[in-house]
Amino acid sequence: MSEPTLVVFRLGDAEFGAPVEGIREVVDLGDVTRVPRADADVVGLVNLRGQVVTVVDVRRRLGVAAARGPSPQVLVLDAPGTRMGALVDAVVDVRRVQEAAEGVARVDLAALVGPG
Amino acid sequence: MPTPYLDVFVQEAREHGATLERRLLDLEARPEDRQAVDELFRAAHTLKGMAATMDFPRLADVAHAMEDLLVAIRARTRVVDRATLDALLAGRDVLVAGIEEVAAGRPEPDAASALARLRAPAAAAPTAPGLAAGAGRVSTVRVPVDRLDTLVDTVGEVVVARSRLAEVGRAVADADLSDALGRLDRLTADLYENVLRARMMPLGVVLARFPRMVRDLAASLGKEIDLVAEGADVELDRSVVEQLADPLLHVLRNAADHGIETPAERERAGKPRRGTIRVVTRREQNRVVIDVSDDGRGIDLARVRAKAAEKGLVTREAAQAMSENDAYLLLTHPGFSTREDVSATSGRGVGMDVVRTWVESVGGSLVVRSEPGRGTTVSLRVPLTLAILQALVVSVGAERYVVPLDAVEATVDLRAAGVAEEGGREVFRHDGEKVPLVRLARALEVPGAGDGRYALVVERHGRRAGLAVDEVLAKGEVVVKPLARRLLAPGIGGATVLGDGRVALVLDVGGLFEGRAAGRAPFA
Repeated sequence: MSEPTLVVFRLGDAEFGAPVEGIREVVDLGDVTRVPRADADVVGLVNLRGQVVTVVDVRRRLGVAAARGPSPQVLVLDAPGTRMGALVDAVVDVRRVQEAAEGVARVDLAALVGPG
Repeated sequence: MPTPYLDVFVQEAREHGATLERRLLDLEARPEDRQAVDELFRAAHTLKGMAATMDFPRLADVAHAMEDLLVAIRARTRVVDRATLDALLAGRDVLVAGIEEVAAGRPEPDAASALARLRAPAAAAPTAPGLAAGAGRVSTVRVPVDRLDTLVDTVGEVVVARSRLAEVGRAVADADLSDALGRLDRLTADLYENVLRARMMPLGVVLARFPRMVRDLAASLGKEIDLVAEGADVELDRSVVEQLADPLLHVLRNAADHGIETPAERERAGKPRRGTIRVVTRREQNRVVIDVSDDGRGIDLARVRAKAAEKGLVTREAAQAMSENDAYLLLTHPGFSTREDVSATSGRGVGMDVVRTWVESVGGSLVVRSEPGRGTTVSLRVPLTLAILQALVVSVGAERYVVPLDAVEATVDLRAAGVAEEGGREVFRHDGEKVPLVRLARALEVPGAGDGRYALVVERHGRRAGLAVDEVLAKGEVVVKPLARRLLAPGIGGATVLGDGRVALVLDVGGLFEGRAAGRAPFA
């Protein structure tokens, strides 16, 4: 397949791109409910129109050291099982991969976030 | 063929396969069972049509041959003898296996030998199959399960929103408003019940796979066992039925393996050679009770108590003082059965801990009764649905948690009750009893939370504890959502969305106890 469309997002100073097919929607991170004893990567649970979404911070897995941005967003994944989302600093763009600028690393968000 | 059709085919075909499975065993037990013949016929007939439509000619041929044979039985031109049964069983095997093959995208299995057996004695010819299929017609619409799930979820949210509205209505105290709310109340309750009913299915769907399993197991153990099911038509929410398969399997295995004796042993004890396992299902209000009874050797309670103490699960004194049911439940402790005790099939305890954990995680209970020499009954009491829960919303520091109401006996003001320290644990007095206190702020590592002013007295398998919370905020219905597996920790059972739109965790009271019992958590 040629030129898949990527959702390009920012974590610290780095940009990453994930195929748009795997992403259900992008929402602002609202109220988060902490989950006791969860892995450090788990940010918590958010309500998406009555559905519970588990939000995971992928910066450690992607080797990003910078702290969280001021108005983070959640890429809600389109995968079977319970709903999962990846926390990012901001969604920058949605574009064809051929046009994607140098330095945009393609990532498999579902694998980074882990199963529901 | 596009996959959506294949999925639907596989789903439906599996159901008909399960019917074949179940009804053939009925027919084997009662060759005169006309109803079984009718149902078998309908299943084979439908499968034939479905397989032909999907272009699976071998499956269609086998279903057709079964159908012909069943027509002959129905017309009494063919008797249900061993050869007939074996032919039908062979056909069933090919169909059931074939469905899974094509589901996995593999070619249809070879059907030649099954076809040969089905057609072998070539008794009477087929009549007009279409007529009979229309006889007991019901008007039914097939709806994909995920669409039903969405419907149940949404209506669940409506129920919760209604509770919130009722709260507001009470504060306003307007007569017209409260009339309208009362009407809305009844309507939403009806709506919820009806939507849930649309998703109910008979427990028999799960039970259908067990006769074969028990028969094979009995054969491998050198035992003779009859499995009898009553009330298989009792309906439960799909969410429960699907999850029941595993726990029931463990209970049945235990009964076959440890309960029922060998024929020789049974004869020496003056019992019939054949043992019986009964699965009796009945509905009690909004619960379903499933009793699995065997007429086997029973459980030697004195030995259970001694062994539990020996293994250090409880002190010798505690083991002796325990109620009978609690002592039976020692069997379900993960540490009870050790490898040496485990036979090829199951240890009494291995698997039973799975059963108890599951039953309790869905807000049900497990009761074991036994009479040495006479048999054992394991009762699973489970809710009709897992979707909605009566619960208390409590606050711990700035966080809120949901506690299933059925676990809560009382709410105690800790300042009035007084908390004392005893053997390094905090206890308080309730009902003339010393109850250990679990500070949820600590157990759940709530940042910046105090000790908690109230205690919810909760009970699980005869043990009590007080869960210290700051406030009890509300009582009402919540819709329980499953939690990602990786988030499940002892004491945490699910999540829900509260009236203000924020997510709260649903506590699993049994799990809080387990965490403590296993010494994993600072719960007491």
